[in-house]
Amino acid sequence: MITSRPRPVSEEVTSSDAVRLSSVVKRFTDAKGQRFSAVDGIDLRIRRGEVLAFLGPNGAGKTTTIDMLLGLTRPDEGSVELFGGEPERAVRSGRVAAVLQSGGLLPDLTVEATVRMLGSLHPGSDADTVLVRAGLDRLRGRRVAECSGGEQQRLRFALALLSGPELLVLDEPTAGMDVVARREFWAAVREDAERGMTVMFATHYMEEADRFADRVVMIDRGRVVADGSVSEVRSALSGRTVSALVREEDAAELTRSPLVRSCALRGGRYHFDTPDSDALLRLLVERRLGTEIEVTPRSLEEAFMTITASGRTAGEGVR
Amino acid sequence: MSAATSSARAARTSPLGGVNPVFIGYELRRRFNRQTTIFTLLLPAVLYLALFRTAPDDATLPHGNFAAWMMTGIAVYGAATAAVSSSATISVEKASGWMRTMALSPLSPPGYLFVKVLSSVVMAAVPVAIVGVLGAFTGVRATAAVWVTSLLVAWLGAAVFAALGIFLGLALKPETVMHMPGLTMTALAFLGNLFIPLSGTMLEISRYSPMFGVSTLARYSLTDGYSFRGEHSSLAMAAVNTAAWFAAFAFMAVRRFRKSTGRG
Repeated sequence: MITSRPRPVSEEVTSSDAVRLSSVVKRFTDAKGQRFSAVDGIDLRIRRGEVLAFLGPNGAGKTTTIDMLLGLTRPDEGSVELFGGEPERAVRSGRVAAVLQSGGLLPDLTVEATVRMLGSLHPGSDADTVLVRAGLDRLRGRRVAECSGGEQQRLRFALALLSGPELLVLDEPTAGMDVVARREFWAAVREDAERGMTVMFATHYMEEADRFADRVVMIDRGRVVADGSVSEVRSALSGRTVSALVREEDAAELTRSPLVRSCALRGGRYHFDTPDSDALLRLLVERRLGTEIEVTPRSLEEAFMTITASGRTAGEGVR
Repeated sequence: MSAATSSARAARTSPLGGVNPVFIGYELRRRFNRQTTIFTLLLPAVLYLALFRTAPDDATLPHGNFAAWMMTGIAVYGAATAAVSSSATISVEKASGWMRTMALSPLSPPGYLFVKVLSSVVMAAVPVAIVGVLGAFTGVRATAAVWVTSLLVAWLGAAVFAALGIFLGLALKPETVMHMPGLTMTALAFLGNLFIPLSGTMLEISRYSPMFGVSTLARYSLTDGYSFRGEHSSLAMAAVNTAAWFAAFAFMAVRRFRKSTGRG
């Protein structure tokens, strides 16, 4: 099932939790001097060994949540615990490693120098093994500035592996990569996840969540709007889009019916998002409301758009 | 695996906040690669050769000659400039997000700043050595004590300006920072009594400037604290000047540093 509200966090602290965010709030001041909550009360527990996809549109609060999780930003309210302790401690001891969206590398260093330089901070790390595991063995001598986006991301991944982390946090790791680079990147991550590493990754790509995650958490406007296994989320979000040429007043009436979750006008056609396409189709045909009717299955991506849009209008999660 | 992990984990809590020779080695290698290095090394040499014969008529010094006075001044200038431009490269690390990578590593923030200051001071040794060698070949006369203390103080005094460089590097954009050290340092050097012997009101103003402390300390064994016109600056005052400016620069640098680790 999909929980619409933050999961209740039980009182006892179990060390089986890798991550524990409790009612975390972070406010910022925007350019106009207005305060807004980038993260507005997120509760999240990640058990050890779980692979969790963290989804949300731009500005939903994913990066801010990850920053707080890593101890880079302090929450205004609530608490963050990694392995039952302060995030800074877990991060500095190397139990937790992160692959951040962009940056974080020195352009004038070579790939190998970067790995060795950071490796020197993790006693007992093996730079050579890490370079091989991240598929960088042939790029050792290349300067970071001359690496492609995908290669740089593999380098960030290599750096994250240096400490042999128990929890790996990836913030949109494949943004801007081409299909091949993305596939290669995930193959490398998957290999490590299979060794029992806990992984939390934020992504824009639904199919990455679909293929890779045990659990999906969707956030929007700083709140959790869906939380469940991939199949749970997908089945609960299943539905189809029915599009047709419909008169304006009929469309308005249809939108009010419980059969329609949302409606959009594109290219002269109304697109109805529906949990029961058969019933809607029957209605359209029997009452002669629409012509040139088309029914298309909805992608997880569209499902995501719906869930975040409804969260927006209803001010709460999906029912 | 758990036994191996826990022993590795114990070894991970590295001493000295993570500071280690390999890391410092890469840090230094990065700096020596920069083309700007040529400027910081050549400029002091050229300045020394241009200025070491510009003694005022009344120039007499208790423990050496005017060339020694100029050598020390240029050594302070060269060391300070090298340290500032070297540590100001932290702006690149800020812009590239490397500081965030560091914030997520076992290297503690004080350890990181220590590595910055240390490698900048190491860089500062090069212009000091160059000016020292030039001095030896161009007729610097001074007692052994003057040779040792003046060059040593000029070199280590670079730490003050390494802190300034960190502050400038964090406060300014990388494009701006490239041009800053040369101009700022040259202005501070004139003001700090490094190139032209100051006296009277100018000397009074100079006493409060950042380079005056280090240069007076460096020249003390040569001059006993006297200017060419006979005005005296005490060792204590020079020490206070140095300590105060170091504290001020370090405070500003640390404050900027704390602000800079976040994403923006």
